[in-house]
Amino acid sequence: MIIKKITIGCFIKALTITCITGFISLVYAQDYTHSNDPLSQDEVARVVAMSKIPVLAARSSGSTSSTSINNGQEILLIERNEEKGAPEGQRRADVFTYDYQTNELIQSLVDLNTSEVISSVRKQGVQLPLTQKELTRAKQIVFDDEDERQILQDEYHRITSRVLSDTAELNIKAFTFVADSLPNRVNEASKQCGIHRCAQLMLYTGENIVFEISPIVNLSEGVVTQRIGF
Amino acid sequence: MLAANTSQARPNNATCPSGNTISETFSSGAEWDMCWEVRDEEGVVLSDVHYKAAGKPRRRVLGEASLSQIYTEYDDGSASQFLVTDFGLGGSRLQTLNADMCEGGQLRSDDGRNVLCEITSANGYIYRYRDNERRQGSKLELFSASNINFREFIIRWSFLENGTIEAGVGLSGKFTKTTSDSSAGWTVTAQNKIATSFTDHYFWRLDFDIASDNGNDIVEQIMSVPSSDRLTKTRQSQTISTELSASFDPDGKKFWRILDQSETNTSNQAISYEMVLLNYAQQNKGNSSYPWLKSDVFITQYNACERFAVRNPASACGENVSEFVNGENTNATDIVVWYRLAHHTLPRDEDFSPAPVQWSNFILLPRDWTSSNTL
Amino acid sequence: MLTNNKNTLVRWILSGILVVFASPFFFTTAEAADCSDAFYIDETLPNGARWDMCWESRNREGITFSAVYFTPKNGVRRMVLNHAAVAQIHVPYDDNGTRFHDVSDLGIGGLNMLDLDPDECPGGTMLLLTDAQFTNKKVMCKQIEKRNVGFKSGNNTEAAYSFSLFSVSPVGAYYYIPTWRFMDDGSIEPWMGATGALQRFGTDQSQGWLLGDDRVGVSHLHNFFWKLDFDINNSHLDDVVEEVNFPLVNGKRQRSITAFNSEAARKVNPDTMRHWRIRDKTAKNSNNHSISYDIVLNETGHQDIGPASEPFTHNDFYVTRQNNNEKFASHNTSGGANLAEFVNGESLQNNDLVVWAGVTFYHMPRSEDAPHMDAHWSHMQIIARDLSASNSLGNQTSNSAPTIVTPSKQNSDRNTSPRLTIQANDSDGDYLLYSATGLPNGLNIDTSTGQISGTVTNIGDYQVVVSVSDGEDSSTTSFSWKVTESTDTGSSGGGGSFPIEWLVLLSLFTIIRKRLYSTQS
Repeated sequence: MIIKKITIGCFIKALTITCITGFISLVYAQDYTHSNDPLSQDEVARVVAMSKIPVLAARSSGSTSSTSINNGQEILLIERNEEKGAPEGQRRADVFTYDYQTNELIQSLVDLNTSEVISSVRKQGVQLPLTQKELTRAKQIVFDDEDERQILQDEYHRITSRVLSDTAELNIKAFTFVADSLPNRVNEASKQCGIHRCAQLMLYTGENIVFEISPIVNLSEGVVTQRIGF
Repeated sequence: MLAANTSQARPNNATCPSGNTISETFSSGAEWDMCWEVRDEEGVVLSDVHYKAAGKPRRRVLGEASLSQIYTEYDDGSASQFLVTDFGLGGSRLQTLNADMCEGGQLRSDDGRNVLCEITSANGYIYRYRDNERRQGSKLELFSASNINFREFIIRWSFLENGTIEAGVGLSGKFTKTTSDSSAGWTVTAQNKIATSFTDHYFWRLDFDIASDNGNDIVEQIMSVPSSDRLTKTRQSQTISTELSASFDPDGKKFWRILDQSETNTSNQAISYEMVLLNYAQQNKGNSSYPWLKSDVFITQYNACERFAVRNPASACGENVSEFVNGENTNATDIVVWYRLAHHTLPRDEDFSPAPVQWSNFILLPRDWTSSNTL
Repeated sequence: MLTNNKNTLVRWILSGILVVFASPFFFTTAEAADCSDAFYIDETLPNGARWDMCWESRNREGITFSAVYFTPKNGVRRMVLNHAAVAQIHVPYDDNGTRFHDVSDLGIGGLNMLDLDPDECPGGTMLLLTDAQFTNKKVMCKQIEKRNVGFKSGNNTEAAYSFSLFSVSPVGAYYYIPTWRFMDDGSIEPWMGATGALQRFGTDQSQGWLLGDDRVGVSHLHNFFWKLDFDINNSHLDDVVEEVNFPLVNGKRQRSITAFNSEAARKVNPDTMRHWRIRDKTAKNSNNHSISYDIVLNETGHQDIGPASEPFTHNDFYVTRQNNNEKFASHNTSGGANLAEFVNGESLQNNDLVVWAGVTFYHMPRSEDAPHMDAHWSHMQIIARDLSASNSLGNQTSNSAPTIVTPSKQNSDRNTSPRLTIQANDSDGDYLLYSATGLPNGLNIDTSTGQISGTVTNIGDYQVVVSVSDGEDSSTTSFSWKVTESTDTGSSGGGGSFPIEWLVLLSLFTIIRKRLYSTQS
């Protein structure tokens, strides 16, 4: 058990001891976040502000071509930094950002108490799960591709005997995909996955029946690289 | 050493002694029913175990199922024991159960004593799928307890709503044996005595009698062989035509299923039950060279006098499971599978006394018993 | 002089106050455990054992636990785990068509964790998550579980309790159910359930199974990994992990315990019944035995050594130096890439160490797995060894010896079959075994029932000593048994019967007399 350091305001005057107990109640004020609690909404907002990372503008569904290629950075994840043995009251966050221009993952460490970015590291070949925005982009890339669209429509028809009119009815889930997950099976185009940011999509009909075809999308290049039979 | 009442195993198609049927129908319409009896040696023996999947025909799974021997070896080399035949799980060693032990359930009696507890209880998720479809399951549980020289063995059967059977032994009671050999035990209690460590080999006798004809069962051995680069596996199935002693093979994922030669599900697939044997880390081959400790599973043709896995009265049959395996046909006949589950105990302070129950279980799972999930 | 004394006095007084203010009285227990009430679990089970811990929800790992403390009934509160989490769910398919790393590549927390419905948590309590993404999301179900028979020796039996915490994560067509069971004896069981629907179908039956709906379900493995940062008794630098083997040496087992001095990756071994143990080097229970936990991976029948590209599947058990960056068994994003890389020779002596364990379930689909798949479960065991000095579940603190009733003096005739049942009682309800010496020849005692029976064969005065034992203590008493010759008149025993020899003589005399007198008439 870690003993909390308490600031004690006590003084002696004429051999009478007077202690300020107000200090203690401040420490336990309602908005105090404890070391092991997840980051609060407020904390995440402060981290975003501190990170000074250009957040991707939201893309409307009607926008044209180059929406598929991302020239910016995308915040992938902000989570509480776990540091065993950290001083009591430490609140830090790990910020994972993907730089699509250089295909690097940027991992930053932010201190919420001091409002400082303590460190920032760039690495390649390391990936995190997709964000909702990336999932939407991946889906867009797939259905913007005429060949892919046709194949998936055929698959939809095979499963449901219906014509796919609105892709919005499809339930889509996606994993981040790295080439070394699938040795001997990745084609040339997919080999970059890991360095590039790629997604493996799983599509389901409205009744939740899985498509037996799973496209791999290179989000960095904005193309479908491969289709895995499911 | 007990003189067995009869050296014979339960004859096929025997009738159930009056008052000894158990049956449970679940809210889904799935149903289990069976017969039970008490024998001096094996204790509670189940027979004519039938499963009816919801909306499907009622079919027999097991003709008889019992714990046919417990062989205890002590790590310090002191004399081993055959608990079923030297002492017996039945008779005066079969414990009288009371209502507290069977809370929420029903006590069943034999010869004027409550010896079996029957409880139907909730079992957590059966499944959850699609967006929000889900079902909580139920199971029928039976248990009895037998005390042999202060160690108490709880024999428990669980029958799940979806056709799964889980069987096991819970070891409790008091560990009274001590030794002066510190490498063959553990220093326990305030007295710092060395409690001897030991292995119990539980030999289960499973007389599968799938569906209406008990004489046309087939054993299939299934393996999934890894490729040399270990990226893929290839399934290999073969019919076991001759009696077989076999061992675990995690690398090949070897398992066995017992299927019916003629009866099928509505998709024309052979109905079967498979053995899911996951207990591996303690599956030692015994402290001595006895052949009946060297294998894990023995697949044999039914033989009325093959009743005890070891110390079987050898008049017309072998003395033990490795002798039962002697070249007889096992293709489309009456099959009995013997399964040896080894469990090692190194006592600890918490076991004194009595020891909290430690379970050793295995699963029998339907495979293609129905053409789809019926729940 | 006076000033110095006053300064000393002030310092003394202040230090006294420091102690007072730092006392637990001024903390809520949640504060002391360093998480807010919403993330604090404090559960005292019906038989007095207590677990308290913090939980958190993270996007990739899902629910994690920290500062896990156990207090046995009337015992000392000690930390068991500093941190516990699911470290990966790795699902490679037999056809190499996909190889999923669910925790690192998709995440089982965040949006991939369900807001549970009450009927999924029957009889339980929901734990709510409020964080940056959610408000009062019902992410975890806590259920108290009762086992009617926690231990048993005859009628000496009591219920045992545990509580379980589970969450549910949709992953593709699957739902995973990470579950943690905390038992009333200090043991912990991490479990993982898998349900939902089969993810992949193919055409090659040699890599799957043809189902009743005419699709081939592709066979696959589930490799489940857990990361367990033990800090037994709060101290994080004085734990040691040992491997325990029982090799056969000259026909008997010879237990050997080997401490890991540096990072290691190990497999189970049925021949030596291998398991592992983590022990605190200094903390002992009241028997002066080291407090420890056994780590038992029994459910390894589906152990799978994977390809060279997946070295983290090559072993079952790992012990490594604690490293904040090492979170996932594979596709780890900081520091080493996977478990095999975490094991790189670092010293464990007097260092903070972490245990990783993996259990595999091989799934060859069957027709019953479609359209939906019933849950299959995998688990491992973390079993307390010498955390308590004795069985802490029961109400008794020590064994009560059985009592035996001394039978009255017995008398039997030779060649009769008397029956005498020794009466004994055990206030704990323990199962009793009887023994006897000095019985009249021909008699035996049934060790279970205490009934003496048989046929007495020899006359004599016997001094019988009977004992009853409950496995720990026994009671003895003695009584006399006199076997006498029986008289064959048909009348019941005792005096008054005419000796047969006299009858014979009398008859003879009567015949002789008759003969003598008959010749004279």
